[in-house]
Amino acid sequence: MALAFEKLHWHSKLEVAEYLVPASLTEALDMLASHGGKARVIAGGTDVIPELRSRKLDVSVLVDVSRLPDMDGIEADGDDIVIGGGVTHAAAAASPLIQDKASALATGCGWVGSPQIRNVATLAGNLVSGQPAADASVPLLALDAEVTIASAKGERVVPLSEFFLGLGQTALDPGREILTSIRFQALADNQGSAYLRLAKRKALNLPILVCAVKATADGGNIASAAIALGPVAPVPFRERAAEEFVAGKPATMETLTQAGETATATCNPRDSLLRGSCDYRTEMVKVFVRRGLTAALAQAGCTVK
Amino acid sequence: MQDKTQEKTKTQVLTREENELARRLRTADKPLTVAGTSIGRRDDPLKVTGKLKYGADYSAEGFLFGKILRSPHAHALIKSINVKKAQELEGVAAVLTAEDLPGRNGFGAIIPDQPVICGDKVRFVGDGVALVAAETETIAHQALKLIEVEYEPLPGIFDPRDAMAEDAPKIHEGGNILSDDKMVKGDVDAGFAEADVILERTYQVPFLEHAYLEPDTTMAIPQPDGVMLIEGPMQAPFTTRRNVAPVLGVPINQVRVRQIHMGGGFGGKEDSPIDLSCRAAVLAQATGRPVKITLEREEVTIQTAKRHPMIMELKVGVKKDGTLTAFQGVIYDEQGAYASLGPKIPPAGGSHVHAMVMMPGPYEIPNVKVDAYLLYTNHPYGGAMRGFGAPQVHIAHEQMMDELAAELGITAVDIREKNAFRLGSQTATGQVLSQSVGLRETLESCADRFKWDERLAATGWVDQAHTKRRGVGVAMGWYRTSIGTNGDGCGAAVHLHEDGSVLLYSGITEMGQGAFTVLPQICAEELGIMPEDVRLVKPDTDLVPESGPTVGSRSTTLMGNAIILAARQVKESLMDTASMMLMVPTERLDAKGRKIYDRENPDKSLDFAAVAARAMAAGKRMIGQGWWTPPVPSLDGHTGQGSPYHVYTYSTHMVQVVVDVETGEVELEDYVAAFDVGKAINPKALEGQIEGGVAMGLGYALMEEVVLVEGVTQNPSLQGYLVPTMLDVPDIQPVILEVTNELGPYGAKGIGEMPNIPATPAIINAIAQASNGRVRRLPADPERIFWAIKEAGGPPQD
Repeated sequence: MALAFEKLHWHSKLEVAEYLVPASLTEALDMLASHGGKARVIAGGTDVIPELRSRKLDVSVLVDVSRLPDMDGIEADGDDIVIGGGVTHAAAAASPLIQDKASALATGCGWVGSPQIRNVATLAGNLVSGQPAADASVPLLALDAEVTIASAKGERVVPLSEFFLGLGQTALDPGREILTSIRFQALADNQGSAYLRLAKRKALNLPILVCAVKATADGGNIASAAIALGPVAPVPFRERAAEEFVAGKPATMETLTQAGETATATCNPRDSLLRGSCDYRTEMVKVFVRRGLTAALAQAGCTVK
Repeated sequence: MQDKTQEKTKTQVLTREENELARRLRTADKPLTVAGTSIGRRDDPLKVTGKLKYGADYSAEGFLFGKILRSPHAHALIKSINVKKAQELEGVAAVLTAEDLPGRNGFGAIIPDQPVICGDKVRFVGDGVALVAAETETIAHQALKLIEVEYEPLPGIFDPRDAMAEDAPKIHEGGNILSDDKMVKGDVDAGFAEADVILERTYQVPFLEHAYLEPDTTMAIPQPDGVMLIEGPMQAPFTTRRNVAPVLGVPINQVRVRQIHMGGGFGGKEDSPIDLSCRAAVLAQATGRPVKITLEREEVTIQTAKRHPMIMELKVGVKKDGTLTAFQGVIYDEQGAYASLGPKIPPAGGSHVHAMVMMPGPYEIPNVKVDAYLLYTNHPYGGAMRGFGAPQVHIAHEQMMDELAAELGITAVDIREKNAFRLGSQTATGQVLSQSVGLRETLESCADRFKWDERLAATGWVDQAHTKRRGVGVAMGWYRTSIGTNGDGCGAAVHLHEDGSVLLYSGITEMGQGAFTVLPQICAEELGIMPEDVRLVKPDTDLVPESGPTVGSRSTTLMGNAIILAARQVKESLMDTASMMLMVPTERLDAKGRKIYDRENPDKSLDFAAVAARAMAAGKRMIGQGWWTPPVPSLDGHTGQGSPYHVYTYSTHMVQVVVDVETGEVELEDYVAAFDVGKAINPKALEGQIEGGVAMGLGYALMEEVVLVEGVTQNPSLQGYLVPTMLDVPDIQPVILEVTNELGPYGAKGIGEMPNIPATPAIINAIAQASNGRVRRLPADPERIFWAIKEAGGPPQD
């Protein structure tokens, strides 16, 4: 039915009482705690500001974490890569470490918005916004990343497989907690990753479908694969049935094609007037699972026959 | 990127009237010094330094924020409306309903059928039912929520074909068929009998939003003397004034419209400023204070005019050798809720008639029949958008040409070469093309630059896995200069000062197309001075002569001619004076580079400024006024036969694409666009028009569509309504050809709209050539291409 026009109104004036700039993480967490959930963290602001202007978000206080010290690192820690909560998509996309050891993530970060958005928007914010096809979230899910979440009460670590709860909802309480870091295993020599994106134009666009794959090769076989898809569910989605199907199988086009068919049985893209029909997107799941696996395996040194 | 092929082919078979006009102008052969060069655009430094003021930068002492309460229903009766609570809200200066209006409750660029405020019924989602003026934007928003409206919903019409049913609900009292036009030439039945192949196809295009960068904004400022001053970015200040005056119930001379530099218009700001100006003006009159209405982006999409959607049914017959024998077409042209710029202004004005005239394409076809219906629906309304009905029909005829060629087994270029207009060709309206017909030259140059034959031979699979195929596409086009109405006159004034500086008064507006650069260039050329010696007085209906609207690719040509005629009046003063000073007869004098000199003895010369001072002192005429009207247009109301537009610009586009046949994604690899423009007054600015136009055509082809469900716009923001980004637009190589227009300033024709038009079908044709996926309902987004390939039984298997 008809849109309520008042919901379309953009307000040029932001009705925010206070804008706080903490000097440390502890101070930031205390500020959030003292406002009892009515404050909201802002980093790049590329999601928060539009939500405030359209009055979808109702908070009176903003806590700016973009200047917190020691949050912008991208570092190797043993076999792991650790990304700070303040790292922007531009920094991640340009990082040689991520390009080399988590290329799907570098590709995904390069797709986010426009250069202006990538220069300020953070990976942490991309995760916290909880969108089903977010270009950093989907590869991070395939990389089996886990996130560290801090609050005034302490820290906890949550795997991304348990992080996304629903559309726009995550395990993080945006009024009380801050996502401080992201950790995942760097790709080994027999591993590869890929990120594919289908959209109606080449930038600043909601995708029709995205797919991130991490594959581990064992000679000519697929030892294991992680396949993440979006938007085929309210949250970034791990395609477990196809993952199980390919595990231990020879890396042939037949295996990959069947993996694509398997994927369509479990993921459920909706009919969308703007993104495309369910039928089309289901066809694209087949193509993307096959192509994603092919590309990731190729990076792992395994040519699909 | 600039590679200019200058090919001055001089050919003409002018009518007597045209000969007379050409004789009066006599500019086509003038050796040029200032016109024809790529001087920098005047507004660029201001734009890149952020100093240029746009509508949003303007304010007035104590102004109020105006807002519009909109109908959530596509079609409904208004049973009651209660504004009491809104009026009582602190900070609200006025709440107006239809009852409060002082004058005519209607506006429109052609017919005033759109209510300033709806009284008894609403006709689309977004129709205005009340107006609010308040001290702040927030209060204005709150006030809108306090207005209580009781509606009785009526059944709506959302498909133009449904509007024609006898039992269809009537959207306007006069019925749903706003215009029913015919074009008949020869005998189509006989033509089809001669044909070896006959194809029937239906093509469909959606509503398009202009997506200009600057949302609409208008300020109405009551003046102490009772005059209503309107300020805003707009393409048609005079049409705006013509509407505001009766709405306020005052004579036209009591309304003053000042045009502000525009952040993009593309035809959309021809009539949306009429809407905002009328509404801001009644609020300003009611409150006695300045009122500013600025639309939010979502409101721009919901409220303002769009490009007309069309359903186009074609039946075309062709002989084995590619010769066209008959063309039969039906257009269901969806007007939407209000008439806007759709209906006919006799004989050939309005977008609908223009679409009909252009429908068979730039081809010689002996037998033609077109039935064109312009139909009201309960959707937003169609207006002007870069091409004015022509882009839609080009999408139909240019796809049909390719489908015919494929059926015959000849190339897309061959079939066009066989049928394309040449000098002396007769159009579907029976008009004999008497001069400046460079269509074939554009085809030849485009194919040459693009290397059509080589590229066509090289199309096929890109990768070993057979997921991507490369293909090429071509489309041709034609577009009128001027608007086909009887009253398409254009006025200018030139004021020469004693120091040689000049003020140029023109009502043509700047919207990024370069008018404020090109018009002074023409003025300087005619007077023999430099462009920087001419200051342009910005459009203001109190100052500049009536110039008509800035539309129809008419500015350079019509205004250019008016400026030349105005400049000649003061030039006569200068030449008379110089003749006395040099003791040389005026016939021997010429002006160039701020000098007036004896052609036979160029050393004998005077400074332009010195002559101007002497002329002034001698009481000579220092103000020139020019008025130029194109040859009288004609179009028979029953047969659609006549000469509706006096000259046409021609073009051929070629593009190479790669289609991912598994996903439907498209990559544009290369693009060449060739134009016969008559004469390029500023080649660099012309190239800018070409690049922008092609980018817009690309959006139409691949992604743009206002998505409507039961009349409700589903993608009102630019997050949902997609326009191309820099990454989507390929390198575009312009080819500029100059086949002199005897009736244009130094031979020029219009160029503003032409580049937009063949771009869309060229891309669609390339996609089909590459993949077999023929998308007959636009946009050709990945999904539509994917299904079209499936429907064709898959991509070519070679």
